[in-house]
Amino acid sequence: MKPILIICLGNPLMRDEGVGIRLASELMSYLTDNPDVELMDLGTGGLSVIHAIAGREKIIFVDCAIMGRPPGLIHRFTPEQVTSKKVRMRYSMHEGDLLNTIELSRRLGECPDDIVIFGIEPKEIAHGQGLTSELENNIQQYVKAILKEISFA
Amino acid sequence: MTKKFNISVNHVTRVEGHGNIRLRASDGKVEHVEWQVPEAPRFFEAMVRGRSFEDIQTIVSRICGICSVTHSLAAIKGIEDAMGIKVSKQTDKLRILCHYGEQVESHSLHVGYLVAPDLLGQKSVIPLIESHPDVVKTVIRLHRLGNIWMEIIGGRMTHPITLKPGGFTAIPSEQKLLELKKAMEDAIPDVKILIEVLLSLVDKFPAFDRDTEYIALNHPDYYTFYHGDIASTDTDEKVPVHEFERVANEYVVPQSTAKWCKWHRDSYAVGALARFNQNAEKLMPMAAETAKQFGLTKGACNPYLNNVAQVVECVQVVEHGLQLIDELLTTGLKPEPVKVEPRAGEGVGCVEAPRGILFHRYEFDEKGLCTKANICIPTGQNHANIQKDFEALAPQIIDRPQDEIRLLLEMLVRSYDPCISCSTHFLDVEFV
Repeated sequence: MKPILIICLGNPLMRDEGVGIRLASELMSYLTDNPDVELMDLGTGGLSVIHAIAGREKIIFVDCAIMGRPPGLIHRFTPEQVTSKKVRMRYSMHEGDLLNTIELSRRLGECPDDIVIFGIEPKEIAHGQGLTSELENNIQQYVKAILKEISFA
Repeated sequence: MTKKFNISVNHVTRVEGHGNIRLRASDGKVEHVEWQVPEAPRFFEAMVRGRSFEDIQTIVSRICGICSVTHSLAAIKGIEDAMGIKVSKQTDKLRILCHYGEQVESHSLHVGYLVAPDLLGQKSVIPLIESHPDVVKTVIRLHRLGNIWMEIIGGRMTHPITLKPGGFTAIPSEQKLLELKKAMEDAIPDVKILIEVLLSLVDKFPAFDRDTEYIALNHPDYYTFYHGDIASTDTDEKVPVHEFERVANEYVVPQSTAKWCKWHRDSYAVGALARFNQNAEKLMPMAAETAKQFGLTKGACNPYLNNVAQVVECVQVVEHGLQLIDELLTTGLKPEPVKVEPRAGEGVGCVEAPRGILFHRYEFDEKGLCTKANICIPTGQNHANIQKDFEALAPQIIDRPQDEIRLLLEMLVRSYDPCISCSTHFLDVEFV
């Protein structure tokens, strides 16, 4: 098991919500055969995150995040720096909340201490493929920011 | 003095539809009760139009993170039906095996994460870690089994990549299948814990029977999630999946922007209980024994017992999955190169999602480009039935405290294991 794991989340069928998945394909060429860093596209798999992160040293999440910032802005933060504004009805396991999943992992004693989230502010979350230009034009900037986190660039 | 009250449970998301509960009562009488339903994901149908048959599975596997194998298989079967493709026995068995992994993951999560907190008096799974750590850890292990299972056959934990029209792009090694077999055998004690937990709590489900039409795939020889015809508990007729529109008759009601479905009555139910009611006598021995432990018998019509049927199905798929692995190892696995020549045609794929029967219909031109698609999801088929349950249940519980009424209505919705808000999981945060 590689010590560092980059988990890309989101849905490429929901415009900017899919930015994490787009970045997974961009990052792949930099990380193939890297002995220390693994890259995973977990899509909208929700709780699968809990199994992926168990036993690692460092986790980097890449996801679309509504943060009240200008569209296209990438922001690095840790789970402790934010609270979730999501309203969940528990009707369905389909309601995912990454922060809740991290909390669950912590309480189970399986969660790595070092967790970083790269949130990218969306312009539009709506049915459709492809990113808005606000995000598309910044893809290389996002790649650099994420690679810098693992001292790659 | 007139005693009036309203119960209103709102489901608010920024993107998706809604799933709201509304109840208005006066003087101990229900004046109005309503399940306001979310839109079905029709937009995916537009997304696949104009795309090659080779790309459809990749797209539809993203419709939902929990039913991604199911959507993939429904699409692949629809494409194969349209293009006259027959697959090998090996492919057939591997697909069914992969699909079973999704059933275990989805069912164990639903029962453990969503239903157990209700029955144990907790608001969510987080406080349950403190009050009932063994329950949560068991469910996590079963979920992990589902993940490993789908990774070994489908190529990754979610959104499978090996499933394609005609067969598999990569098959598991015998070593990997043996690993999976061991993981499944090791999980049997966990399944038994889940059974014990639910057995100790099953009395907490309301005794609410409502005679209901149940619709599921039916196969004469085995308990099916993948092959067979469409069957109803109301008749002996078996309808080929190609005629699914004759079953899922969509109709419009004023209270809903989403369409409702009906066949012989105003509504019908799909899901684990529907499958059980169609196929119970074909359960494997351990699964049949589990149903017996719960006293679950064919003809059960308490919607809350869908949760029990899900646990029975967890046993069924592990039991039959082990048999499939043995069969695959006995015949030996061999790579089967897949070459599909596109041709014009139309086809239907039908698979049982964990939450009920799912239909995909496609049309293709001679180059294999999709010209038309129609997806009919199980949650959409259940909406009318949830409403009919509400109308029958609310008057029976209206004298209870409001919090209890609210909880029982919420639990009823949850028992159907609906797919709501499935396509987006983005973060929504404020900085502290």
